[in-house]
Amino acid sequence: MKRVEVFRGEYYDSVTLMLVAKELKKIEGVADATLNMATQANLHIMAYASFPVDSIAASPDDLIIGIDCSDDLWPSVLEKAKTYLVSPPWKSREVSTEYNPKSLEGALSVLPEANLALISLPGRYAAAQASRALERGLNVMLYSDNVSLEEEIRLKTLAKEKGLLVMGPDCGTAVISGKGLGFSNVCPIGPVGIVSASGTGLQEVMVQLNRLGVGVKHGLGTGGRDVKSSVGGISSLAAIDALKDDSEISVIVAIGKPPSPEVRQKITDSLKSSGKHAVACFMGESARSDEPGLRYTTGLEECAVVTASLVRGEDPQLARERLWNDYREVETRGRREGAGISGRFLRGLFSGGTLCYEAAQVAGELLGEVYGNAPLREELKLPDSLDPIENSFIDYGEDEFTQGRLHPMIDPSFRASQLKIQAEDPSVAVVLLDIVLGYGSAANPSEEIVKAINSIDRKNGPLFVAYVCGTEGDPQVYGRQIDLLRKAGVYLFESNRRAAIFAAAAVAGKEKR
Amino acid sequence: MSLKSLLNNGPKVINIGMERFYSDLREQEVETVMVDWKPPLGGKELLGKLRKIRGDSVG
Amino acid sequence: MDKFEIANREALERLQRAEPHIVDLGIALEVIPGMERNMILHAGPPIGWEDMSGPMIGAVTGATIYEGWAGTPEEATEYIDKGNVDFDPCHHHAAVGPMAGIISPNMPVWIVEDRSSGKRSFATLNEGLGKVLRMGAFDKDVIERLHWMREVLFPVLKAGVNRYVRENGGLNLKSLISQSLHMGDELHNRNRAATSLLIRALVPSLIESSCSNDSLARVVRFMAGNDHFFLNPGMAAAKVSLDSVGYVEGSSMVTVMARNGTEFGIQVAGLEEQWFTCPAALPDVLLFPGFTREDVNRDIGDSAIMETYGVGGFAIAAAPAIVQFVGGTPQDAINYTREMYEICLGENKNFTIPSLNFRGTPTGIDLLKIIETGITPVLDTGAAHREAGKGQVGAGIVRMPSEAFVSAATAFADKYYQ
Repeated sequence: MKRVEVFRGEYYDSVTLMLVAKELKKIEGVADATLNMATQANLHIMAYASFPVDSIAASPDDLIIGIDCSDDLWPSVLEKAKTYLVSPPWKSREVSTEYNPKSLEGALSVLPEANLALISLPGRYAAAQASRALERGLNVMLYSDNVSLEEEIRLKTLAKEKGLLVMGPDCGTAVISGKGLGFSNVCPIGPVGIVSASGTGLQEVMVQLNRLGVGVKHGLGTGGRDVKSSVGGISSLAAIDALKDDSEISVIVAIGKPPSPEVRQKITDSLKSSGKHAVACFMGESARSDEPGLRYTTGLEECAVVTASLVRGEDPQLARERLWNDYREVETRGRREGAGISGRFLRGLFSGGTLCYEAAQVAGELLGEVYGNAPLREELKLPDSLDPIENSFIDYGEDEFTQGRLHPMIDPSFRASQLKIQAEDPSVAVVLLDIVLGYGSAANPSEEIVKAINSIDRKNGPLFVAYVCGTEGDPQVYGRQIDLLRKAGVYLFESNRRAAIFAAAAVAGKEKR
Repeated sequence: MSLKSLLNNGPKVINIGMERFYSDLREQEVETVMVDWKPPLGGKELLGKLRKIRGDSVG
Repeated sequence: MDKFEIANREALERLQRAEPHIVDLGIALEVIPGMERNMILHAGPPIGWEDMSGPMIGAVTGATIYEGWAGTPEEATEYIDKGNVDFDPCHHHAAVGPMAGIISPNMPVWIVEDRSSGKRSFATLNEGLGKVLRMGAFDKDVIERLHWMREVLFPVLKAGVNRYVRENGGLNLKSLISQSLHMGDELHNRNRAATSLLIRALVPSLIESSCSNDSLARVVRFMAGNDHFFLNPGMAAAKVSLDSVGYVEGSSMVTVMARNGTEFGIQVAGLEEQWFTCPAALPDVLLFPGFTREDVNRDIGDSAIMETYGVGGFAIAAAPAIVQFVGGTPQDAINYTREMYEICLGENKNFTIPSLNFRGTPTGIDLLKIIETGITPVLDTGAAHREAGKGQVGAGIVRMPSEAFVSAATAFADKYYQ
């Protein structure tokens, strides 16, 4: 039986709540468990799952626990829930004698030299907290999304007045002096500075640079809306200026979707007048010729390759040609391998938004129409993201999937379950995945993916293709992830683009009907 | 503090929100503090009113 | 600094400037401003007879019998039902009372004066532990003890205090509180050191001024047997200090926190003597053997004035022994105090905590910081049985409810909106 209980004024972040729910579901006799802050959206989700929330009076700052179990189990399971919230079972036993401050002011009295606030609060409170941080002279990394455009503009205007940087909103990755904030891979420090509107875009470029033996000193996020004309590129320009001033940086890289025209002008002018090498990767744009002081790239790997060659004082054009050559080989191989597989379609199942975007772009070039839940064009949007058609790319990090669910980079289980469904569909020939390692990501992301792969009940195919976005230094142990996937028969490639080229080429020859 | 000093001195972080970011920073030996944040009483509306009378423009 | 910060600075400075001293004792009707012949003062925000909880009903019943307005509990109920008694908060009369906090016209009270502002405050003499009026007990023993306190304790103490004051000008309570914090007290739930210091200060004058060895002996024995004897003058010291702040335009400093067993109420320096109330907390504390959660009455007493003053639960880092007693660790005690700094305007200049490197206690509760951080004050307090006269059922840390702070902050925002 499904029951709920409200705990007024008790706040826990969504990750904690979901991890506790996971623990409760392990208890024998518990059919379902869900813990949420009682926002309208969450109450709807609970109502949809038949939890009795109709007569509940609760505010978004109240905790609501829903459990599906027998009546006599209810008290003990509820007790367990409360215990887990206070003493999370997944945390180490060590008794924390530290006092954790409860406010920014309290934190400043503990760490007066603080220079950055990393804010991952619910969107409706994030802006006020960010504003406070700026007022106290701190730079801000705003991981939270659901911050309004208006709030973003006010924050960035305030930051500009104070010579501070706002990274975000919705900024999940940054690197400062080689230290990773949020989701980031372990990379060495080097003479490169990156400004990025995208989290996994930044991760991919850093990982590719690392493969080429080049380190990055700073990778600054700007959030996806910074280059809109209403925001005016405030953070992008501030970040570029700061990288220009850093004597240890010789190449500045800008990554994101194409900026609005006025902002683009300011950005490119700034890059070109930096006195340093500059490389831009405005994804989705067709190829442009290089300009004095600024080189254009169309993909994340190419961006890294060009940057690396500039660092080494080599000719970037030569490096590009080697890359195109590699890509052609991958495509050829793909067509060959795909010939014998039954099924007709490519399904991309992604955890990183930009990785999905880049891969879908590649697939589009080779296959024509590619559908998705965050597609390149509006007309290609899937009516039901859980029911892909023909060639489709699904980004499981999109909002529709992360209400009441952990981000797929943190918890691969939902994507793994979808993988099984897609792979058992006889019309699917190839399944393409990204596996993102590094801080913030799951401890063993390949494990659940491989479990799903091994459980598939199908005679011929599909072909599994994956790209592991990670470095040797990452906590997940890169080699172990590769091994796990290889043993399961997954085709592995050294970059997101290569994996996409291979996967798309593998279905390129197949009839859609 | 400024952006410049952040980039010169390395990050010293106040983490407000998800605990995993704090532990990852600790692992990289970054000086960091974890804030056990709670929502303001009376919700966003009351907070907004109070900030307004102080002349704070955001939130 | 904007006008609100300036106002808060002023309010905090006024609070810190106060110098509370015991200057005398008196009879309630004679010395408490606005006290009437038919009036009973009670703890907490205003409450009517119909809404009172068990402990307060019992205490009021006992006081009615003590005053001679009725001979039995039944008669007392009838007497009050008929509307013969006027009820008013102690706070409206510059007075404070622990637990039920009942002051009736014929009760003896401490008279505490702030040497800086000249203001005065009043509190009864503490009866001791167990079956006492302030817990709602009203049997023969309780009434008899009250009479003894009026007839013996009061005159002996008054004579001693008068002598002491003649020699010293007044008994400096701030100094006693300051010393007690260095001796393991927090001045709300733990008053043993302060009580000892008070007795030590008074005994010579008591001896020199006494007429009867027998009475003197009984008085000293009485005081020495009650670890909380200091609580009442301590509360009066806090009350007069907070009263000395008065109205400060634009200040969000909390000047009163009080509970009446049904409701919790606060007052704010920048909101003229207005109560903001909500249901009082149901204490979730360590229970003494034999009691269950169903036995606990809602939070009750004016003793929250100690935390408002910057001691009690706010200074619990100075009293690790008591936190252990209520089921926590010394680190818990430190963490509670550290949390309270986050909702206060400053650190006390006189009251310091040895285990925090003699850092001043969190002082000057800021309503707006409470709203912004979501942290409400913690009190270190006793919990009473919901049935009159059954006494104390437990003690520990109780978190104040948020609604009163929300309504006060809403009023503050409305008042100061340009």
